Amino acid sequence: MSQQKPKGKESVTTSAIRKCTRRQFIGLTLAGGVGVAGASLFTACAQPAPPTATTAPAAGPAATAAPAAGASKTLVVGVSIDDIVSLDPHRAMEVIYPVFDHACYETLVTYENNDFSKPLPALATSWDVSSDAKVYTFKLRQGVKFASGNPMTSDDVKWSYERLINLKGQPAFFLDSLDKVEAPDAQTVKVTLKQSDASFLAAITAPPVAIIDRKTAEAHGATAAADAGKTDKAEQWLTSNSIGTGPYVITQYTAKGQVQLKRNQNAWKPAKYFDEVLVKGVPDAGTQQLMLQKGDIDLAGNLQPEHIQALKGNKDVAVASTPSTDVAYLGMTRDPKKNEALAKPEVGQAIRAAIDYEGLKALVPGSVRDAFIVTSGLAGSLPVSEAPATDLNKAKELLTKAGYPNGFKAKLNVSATMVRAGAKIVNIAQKVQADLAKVGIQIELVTAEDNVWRDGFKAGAHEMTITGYFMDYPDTSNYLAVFLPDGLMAKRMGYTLDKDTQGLVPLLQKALATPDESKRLPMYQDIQRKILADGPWAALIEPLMSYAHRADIKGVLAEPTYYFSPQNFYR
Amino acid sequence: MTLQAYVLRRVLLLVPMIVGISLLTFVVSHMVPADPVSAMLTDKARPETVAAFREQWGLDRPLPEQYLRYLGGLLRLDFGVSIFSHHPVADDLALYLPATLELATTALLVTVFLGIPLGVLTAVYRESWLDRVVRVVSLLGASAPIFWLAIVGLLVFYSWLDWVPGPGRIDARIAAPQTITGLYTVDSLLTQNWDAFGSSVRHLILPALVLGGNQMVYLLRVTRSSVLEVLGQEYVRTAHAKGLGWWTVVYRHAVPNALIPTVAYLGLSYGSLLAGAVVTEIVFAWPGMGRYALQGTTRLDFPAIVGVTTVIAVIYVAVNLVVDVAQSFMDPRIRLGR
Repeated sequence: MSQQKPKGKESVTTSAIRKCTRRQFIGLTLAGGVGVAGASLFTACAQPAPPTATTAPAAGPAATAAPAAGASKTLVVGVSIDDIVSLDPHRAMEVIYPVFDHACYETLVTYENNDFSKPLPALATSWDVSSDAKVYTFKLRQGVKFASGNPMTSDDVKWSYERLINLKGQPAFFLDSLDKVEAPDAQTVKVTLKQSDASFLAAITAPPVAIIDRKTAEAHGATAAADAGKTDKAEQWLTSNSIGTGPYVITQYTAKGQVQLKRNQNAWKPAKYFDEVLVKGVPDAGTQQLMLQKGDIDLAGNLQPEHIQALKGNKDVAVASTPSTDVAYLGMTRDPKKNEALAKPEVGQAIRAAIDYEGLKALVPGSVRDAFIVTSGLAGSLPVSEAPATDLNKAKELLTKAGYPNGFKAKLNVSATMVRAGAKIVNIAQKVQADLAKVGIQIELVTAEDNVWRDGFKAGAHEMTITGYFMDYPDTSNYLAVFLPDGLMAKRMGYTLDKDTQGLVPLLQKALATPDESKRLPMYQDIQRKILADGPWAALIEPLMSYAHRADIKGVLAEPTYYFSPQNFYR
Repeated sequence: MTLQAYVLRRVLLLVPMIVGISLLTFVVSHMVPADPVSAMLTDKARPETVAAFREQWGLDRPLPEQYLRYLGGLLRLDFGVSIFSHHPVADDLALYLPATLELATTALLVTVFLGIPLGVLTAVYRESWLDRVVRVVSLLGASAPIFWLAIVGLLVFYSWLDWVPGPGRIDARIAAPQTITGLYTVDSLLTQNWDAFGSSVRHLILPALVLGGNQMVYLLRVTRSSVLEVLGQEYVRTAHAKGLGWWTVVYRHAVPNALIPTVAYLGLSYGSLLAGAVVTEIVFAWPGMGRYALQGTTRLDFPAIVGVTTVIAVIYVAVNLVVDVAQSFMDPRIRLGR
């Protein structure tokens, strides 16, 4: 009987307050949402039951770290590792793989501190390039050992290169130009290319061109045979172990959980400070931000500009940034069947003149501008002073000349969810749509789910699209090759060889056959000037890549090709 | 038909259900106008790489053949190999399912041990201070999206108050217990690894409260209205008339009868907890099946999607079977199999 006053009522409610422990408080409050009522409950509970360490000890670094005196020499990184398929350096091409490749393996030559002006010795101490840039001979570093203790020899290099090629995985393209690799003696490697390629040294600095311990790899099912793609069985083992010469070794991998790296005791160039690196899988950027503020992670790998902004003013947190090399660009079809207007080179020029580049930069804070789809910092890129200027009158003139004084209609397809280095492509597309409307070009913006967009993009189905291209290795030709007629990206926009009226492709071939940089770099610039005159591309903006880290971690550098290098960090 | 026959029939019904699920998932995932290969490889993949990938994963074969091959394996309890992770889906599930089961089960405990008592109390003390507060709070809780609860929960209890540890299943610096069941709490108990036990229990608190708290709101409401209804029944008045103590009437007569719909709701609730853990798992960096399912979906990884769907369906059916049987014991009027 509800109207009957239950005897226990008073005591139940009052004791509910009196005995309101932290645990109950959490339950009561969270159960109903942290709302106004929760806040009032909080004031009721917090005083009678002050937090003690009995039920839920604090989780700060002091509680989680082993009680070792002083700061531990463990670096904790929080980053999304959900998309890691493999950590086999000759296979991996998904998220954050360069960090692991670069920490555990080495290449023959390398770049350091974002200085891409010339390759530095790594596993090779010297090299000789033939005058036609077709034969490269490397002398290997003496006394280098793999993590297993096996000595590193030219046979390991030869075998590693062959495995990378024959696995036919995504990173195989780094050695596209390689014809054969020989090991005349234990310390010499001779590489012969299919055609002249002066960018070869830059290409082999890429983390996937890693030298791995042949003996140990073969013991775990690896092979470099021609059918390695089907017969190599080492992928799984190489995802929870590593067998390189780098400063760290992978000691544990839990999918979506964490990757543990420990100091490689046999490294010839040991890690600067940290004995252990724990890469924790934290998929949500907001969670990363909280953990970083709290000090539970030392570096956050996926913060977006809004999180970076929110961390400003926090004395415990510092941010390392660099231009991402991921240049967002507009591609326009050259296929008159898809859009007659866009197929005309003058229309491309008009569009380049109609875009408000400064407005785009304002849209993505911290972003920089490039003249063409080549990051400005790279030797051989066109100076920004030569970038197309915003000039609506010129744009209208060009449209009139092309026969479209009143503009035309076109479809612009973009991925609804794509974010390039923190820049949302949809926002960029809306801005471009508005800019082009000013000269009468009516853009129909078609947004699609990422995979759907990607399918259309790869099939070359789009009239216009906006996406980004980042540098795989620091040579301007890495960008140019795909955007010149018949290149991988060019074909998708119908920009085929028959449209190469200026002979851009032979020009690039000539440049690649010129090992002398003082001659080659101007050739790259010449190609960019020419393609800017009639090509179907507009470089839009290049966002920053940023890593936020605890301020007491020093030596943090955002690196376009390695992302970040824990081996250089110290406290 | 006996109870055994009833259970057997329900179990056998799983077979056509799994075939149905796999066909539906296959058809839906192929109706999406996108190619799994595009979802797996980067934009920069060379045409040769794409062709090699297609061949390696049998994606170059006609669709009906792809489906029949898959179904053939499925009927032999072989879930196939995930196109994205390159691992057998069964291995992947063995890795991720325990994490989700541990979270969902703890969340279910939260739901039960908070939802039922609060439901009973708010019904008994109807229109009291407690009832009003709980109703307002639960309305807010039911209206708040779970990701918001998760983020705010972390902000308040982890970031500001420091009462619970941060995201993840265990402290970064404590090694995971040796795998026996895959449930960290159970494995650490079995191996008497107290550090790991303490850490994994502490890490469960907040995500389980967020996930379970959301479900609890509904359970609370079902329980409350059910108890209210029962309290108005004549047999309750009779019990009072017999001179039984007030709480005796509530606990011995009203609550057991009122819990029948509650138990039925619990069956549904566990399914929602399992399937609804995706967001909680992302915010709390919980390496569970929800994230695997999400990845499978975004990558159009058909074997992974069917694997997850089938496992959830089987658990759902099993739990509801237990619920049905439990109800037949709780309420003699419910007779299974007749």
